[in-house]
Amino acid sequence: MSHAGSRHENDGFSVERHERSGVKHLHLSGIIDEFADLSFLLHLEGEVMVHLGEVRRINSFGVRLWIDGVRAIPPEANVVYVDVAVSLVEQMNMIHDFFGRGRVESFWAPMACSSCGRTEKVLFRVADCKGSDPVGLESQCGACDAKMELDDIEEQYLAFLKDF
Amino acid sequence: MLGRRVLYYDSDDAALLLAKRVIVGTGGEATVLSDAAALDHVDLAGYDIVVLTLDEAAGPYKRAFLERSVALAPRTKVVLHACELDLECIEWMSQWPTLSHVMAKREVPLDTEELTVTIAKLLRRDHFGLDKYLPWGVDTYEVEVRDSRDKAQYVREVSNLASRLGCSDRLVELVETVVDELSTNAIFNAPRNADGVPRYAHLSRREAVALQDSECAGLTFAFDGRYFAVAQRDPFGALTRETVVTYLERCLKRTPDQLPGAGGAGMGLFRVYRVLSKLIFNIRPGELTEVIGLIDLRQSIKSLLTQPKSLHFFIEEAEL
Repeated sequence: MSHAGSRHENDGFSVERHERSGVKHLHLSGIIDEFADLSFLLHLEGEVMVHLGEVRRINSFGVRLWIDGVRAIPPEANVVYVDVAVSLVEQMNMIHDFFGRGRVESFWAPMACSSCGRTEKVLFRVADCKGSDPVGLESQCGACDAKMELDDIEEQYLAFLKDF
Repeated sequence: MLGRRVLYYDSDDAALLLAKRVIVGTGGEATVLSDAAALDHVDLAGYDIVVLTLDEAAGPYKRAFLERSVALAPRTKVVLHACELDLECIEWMSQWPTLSHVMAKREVPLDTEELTVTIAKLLRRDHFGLDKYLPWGVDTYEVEVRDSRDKAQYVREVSNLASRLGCSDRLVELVETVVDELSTNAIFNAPRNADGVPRYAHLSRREAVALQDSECAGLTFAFDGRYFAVAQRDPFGALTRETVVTYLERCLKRTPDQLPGAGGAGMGLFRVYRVLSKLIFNIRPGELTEVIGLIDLRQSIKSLLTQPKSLHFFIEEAEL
């Protein structure tokens, strides 16, 4: 757990670790900003799955820290990123090597209902999005069952797919 | 002293009628033009403000018109009225320092509110204040930005309002990003010593910095039923138009290796810019900077990302 200054604890950044079937799982949550302690990235080894669905947001200095951290991940670590949060998908699309040598397995997408206007995040697997252009992400509205579409510009939001 | 002669070009007569009324209503002397070919012959120096709608008819004439305005009438304020703030507009702003205003053509035939504010600010040389973009009666909230250790609190103050307004989690997060980036800039980048040298920019953003009374910035925010508005004012006037335009140009080109600071300053600005409807910089060089961002809450995020955007630099020095 990393805290600094007088920040409210809800704004903190945290990493929870556990191991299952020989794979280390790291669950990141909170805000990646100038106070986030990303030093754990330097010590990754073996099979690692980094869960990013609870990362609330990242600021410009957090991006800098993240890129430095990812670049310092030992080459012997095989890192897979899952549940990549919307704010991180945006960064991934702007910065070519945002996840370095790692592989993205799944990501959250902001969806909007074409009927009732409800918005919600839906998890998609990268493997399911490959092979069609445009991808045309779709889901079903939890409120009215109508079709939900990506609430973003597809060619920008899914630009990262060509890298994985 | 800026005069009151305003030329407005648009091939749409309905837009011209509205524009003429707005210009007269703000105290200007209006000349309207619907013939794009006549743009080649306009006596640019005869006008204090020129509004050029970048419609299809103006296409063949716009570049020559802008080049002439820079060469022959550098003190004439040129306002582009564009269907999108695309890379071409930003490149023009980068190329021609006198081009400081792009007004988005979001409404047909035009957004009379934005035209009124833009013309009035230019004519009256009264640039500062979020209130100019809000109707009477709207409550504005103010926070003093003083200490880096309290940044999370500043962010919460603003995002709490966004949450109370029923904004989606993503929009609240984007509002938080706006305030985070603005506050960091106000604490670390804006403060200057008497020689104009940055006081805290060299420090790690993890350092605790408490601004002196004379250095404190002000954060103002409000909602008027349409726009969520955030403004930050610092008493230094150190931000330059060139810095902002350069960052936006690099980000719009989306060249990863050229992204400013590999994710540092500029990235925040761009991320914020993507969802804003209007971004306004009021600068009194060496004295005062005010950054205003307006997000149209009636729009979906997708609409916010794709809608045309307004970008204004009101720089007092340029009007001396």
